[in-house]
Amino acid sequence: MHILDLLVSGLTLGSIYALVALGFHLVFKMTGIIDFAQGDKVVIGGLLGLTLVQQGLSTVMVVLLLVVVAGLLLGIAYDAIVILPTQRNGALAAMAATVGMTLVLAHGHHLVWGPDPKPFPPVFAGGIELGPLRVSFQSMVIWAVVVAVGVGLALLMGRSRTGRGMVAAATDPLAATAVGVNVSRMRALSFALAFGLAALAGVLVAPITLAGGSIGTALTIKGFTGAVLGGLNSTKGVVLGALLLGVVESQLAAVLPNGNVDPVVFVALVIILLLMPNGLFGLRRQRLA
Amino acid sequence: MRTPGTAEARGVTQRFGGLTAVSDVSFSVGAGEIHGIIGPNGAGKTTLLNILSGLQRPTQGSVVIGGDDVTRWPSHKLVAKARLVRTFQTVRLFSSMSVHENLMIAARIVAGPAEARTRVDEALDRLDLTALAPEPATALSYGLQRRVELARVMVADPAVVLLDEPAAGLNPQERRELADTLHAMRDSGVTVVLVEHHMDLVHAVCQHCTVLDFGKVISRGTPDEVTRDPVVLEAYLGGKHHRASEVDAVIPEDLEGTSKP
Amino acid sequence: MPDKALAVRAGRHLAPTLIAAVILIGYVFTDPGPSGLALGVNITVAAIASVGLTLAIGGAGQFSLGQAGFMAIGGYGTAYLMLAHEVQFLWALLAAVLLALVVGALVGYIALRLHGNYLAMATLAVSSGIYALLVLPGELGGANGYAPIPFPEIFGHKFIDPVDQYLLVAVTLILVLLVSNWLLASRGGKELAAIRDDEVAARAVGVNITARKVQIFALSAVIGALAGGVNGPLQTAIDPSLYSPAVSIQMFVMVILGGLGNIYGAVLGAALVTWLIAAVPGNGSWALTILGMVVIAFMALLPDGLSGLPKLARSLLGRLRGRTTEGSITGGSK
Repeated sequence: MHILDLLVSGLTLGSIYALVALGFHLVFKMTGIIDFAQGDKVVIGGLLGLTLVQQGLSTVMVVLLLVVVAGLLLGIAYDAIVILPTQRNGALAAMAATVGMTLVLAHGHHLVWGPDPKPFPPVFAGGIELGPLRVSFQSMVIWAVVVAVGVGLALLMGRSRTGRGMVAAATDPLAATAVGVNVSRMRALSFALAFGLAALAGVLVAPITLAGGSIGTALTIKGFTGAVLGGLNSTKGVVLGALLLGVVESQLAAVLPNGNVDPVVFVALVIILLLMPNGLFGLRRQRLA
Repeated sequence: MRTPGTAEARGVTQRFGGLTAVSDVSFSVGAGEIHGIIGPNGAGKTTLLNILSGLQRPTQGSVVIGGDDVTRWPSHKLVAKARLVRTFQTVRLFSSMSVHENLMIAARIVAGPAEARTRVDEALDRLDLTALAPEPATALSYGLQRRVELARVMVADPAVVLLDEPAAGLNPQERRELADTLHAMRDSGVTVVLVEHHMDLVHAVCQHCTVLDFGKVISRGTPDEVTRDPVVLEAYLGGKHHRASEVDAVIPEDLEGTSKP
Repeated sequence: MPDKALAVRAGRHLAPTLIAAVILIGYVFTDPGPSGLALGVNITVAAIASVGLTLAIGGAGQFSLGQAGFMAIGGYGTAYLMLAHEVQFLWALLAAVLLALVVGALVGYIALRLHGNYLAMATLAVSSGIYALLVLPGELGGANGYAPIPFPEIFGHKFIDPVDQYLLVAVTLILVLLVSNWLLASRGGKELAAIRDDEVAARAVGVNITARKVQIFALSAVIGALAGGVNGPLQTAIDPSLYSPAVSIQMFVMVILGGLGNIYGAVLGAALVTWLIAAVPGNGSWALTILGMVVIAFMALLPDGLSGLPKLARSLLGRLRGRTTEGSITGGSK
């Protein structure tokens, strides 16, 4: 049953990675940029949630909702302030700007909340016993959120007009403009969702990892690893890749002497990038030999 | 057997996923010959050139330059050993460098510093670029940039030169100068493979042509023969695959202007 | 004539290095005191590492976010050999630098396959992996750090006096600047610039991309390891936080602020970032938050970094005089 316990914690971890990875996916698809501050957005979400709880807000759903709304707004501002003005100078300038943003988010939150990680009250206490297997409500909520977000995004992209517009704008901005899609609104929406989902992940994961601290870069790399493992271009791919990474990581942690899987995951990322840059479920792309 | 200056494609095929960009193309060019590769847009000409110049590995088939099978050679070896160099459809000069530096990069690949400088000076002189040597290369007009690219090819002391639509964007006067340069190259024994849309230039300089359509060879022969070939006219002027845009835009005027070299 | 031109060109290339050398050595005579010298060491070490980084990023256009990993190899490698195996400083440094050369060459092979964003993420992962290994408890002390490292000793001279220590890193920086200068002006340097400008065109004219990329990453790593390896023993104790991914990101910022590929810009960037972190209160939090914003502002307004300032000033001046510099260039050539 040990393995099942690890599967439970792995799926929980993978769900958090999935929320981060979806942000990478949305931003990359829309702009071709990889956002190095993606993991730092998670930390901001957790701290925003902590502040709301400390202000006496005890209804969990309200806290989650407020943090997501704050994240969506921050995402729109992020696009307007960080990405749009720099992307004119090339994709690499925009990438460097997101690296600058990692400094702003990672050190800026120290100024507001202090440098030390802070305990976050468990949002959903308790759990259920399934024979020898114990699943906490916290994990179940995280799974439910990821399923809901995944299904929601799939519906948005596949069915709604807005989603179709997003896909069109991502594929060919000029052509999309020509047929009347508001491309800049679609961009803003992508960045809003990327920040909103990361912030949501922050609140969900804070009771497990503590709020604040300096886990942003590690989350960035892990979320990105999950995304490329599944295929950065595919919505379904990034979610499955992130879940797979979480599960593998949990199993590895139980086997490795120090339980420190980070070096293994980071090496794995390099190997994935080199050997299967399209991921497990990604679209094949031709490259010049 | 080593036969300097010859270029040959043997059954070259390139597939991208489900798409076959080049299908079983073979042709051979003798030393000191100017050979035209023509065909409508999307016929696979540039892909073929990328394969010949080592930027792309073909799915099947081989490339033989000067008697050596160079299919698996890296591009730097192709330049240094097979003396094969190329230009691009859109000019690709090094943007942070002057005209002189652009040429020096290429010259130093095949020659020591002193000889490289001599060659650069000669090429600048031959193409009437000496006065522009210190200018930033990409600040020049498009026609001049094309000429710099040609000079960059010359300084490598090439045996085989691949040119991808060198006349694109040039005015008639510049095109005549280009034809002269190509003749001079041929006279000095250089083999030229020329991908070109402008049939007047092809008529003026090419001894033989290979015509591609949808990645396949549909005709070959002298420029006169291929322009009279009904299969070629069919490919250019519509038929079962009508390509309105380019038929209207490029080809008719070119064909009209191809009376005689 | 050509010889004279060559001499003038070489002089123009060396002048900034000479100025840098005068400033670096002259700093000792301004009576900076122990804390001033310690800051001087920190700035100079950061400058060495960022010059190494700017060669890869700017010289060849290869985005790397992993320089702290190579500093770690230099720092821990030198310290470990000196402390655990009583190897002489110079030999220990040489061995550590050789290890960095090998790892750097491997990263160079990665750079053959990956570009831009992907390469940056891969190098950040390599650097983070090295950091994660150093944090593990073990012979190298884990998160608690590694100590006591003996002071470096060269030909019987022990570097204990703060002035000596500062001069050691200052001379190292001057040597690194000389080598980098020579490299950028050499044929290899020009080929790297060609790769940065247009990799496909560089291949077409016959530049050996494989060799050049692997070489420049190896050299960049060697210089990073040199920074870490000279500095480690001077600090007598080192810990993983000196080489965290955050440090890699700071190095990247130094290079960006200085202007990609400009080695003197990298030195200025290193001085600015290191000084701000030390001088602005708040344990670096304020300084780094502001620096992050400055990076974004630079990328929006001045993507060439500090080294783009003269160009910007010229074009502004030109516009004031009623003509732009760009206009004069194209106008003259037509």
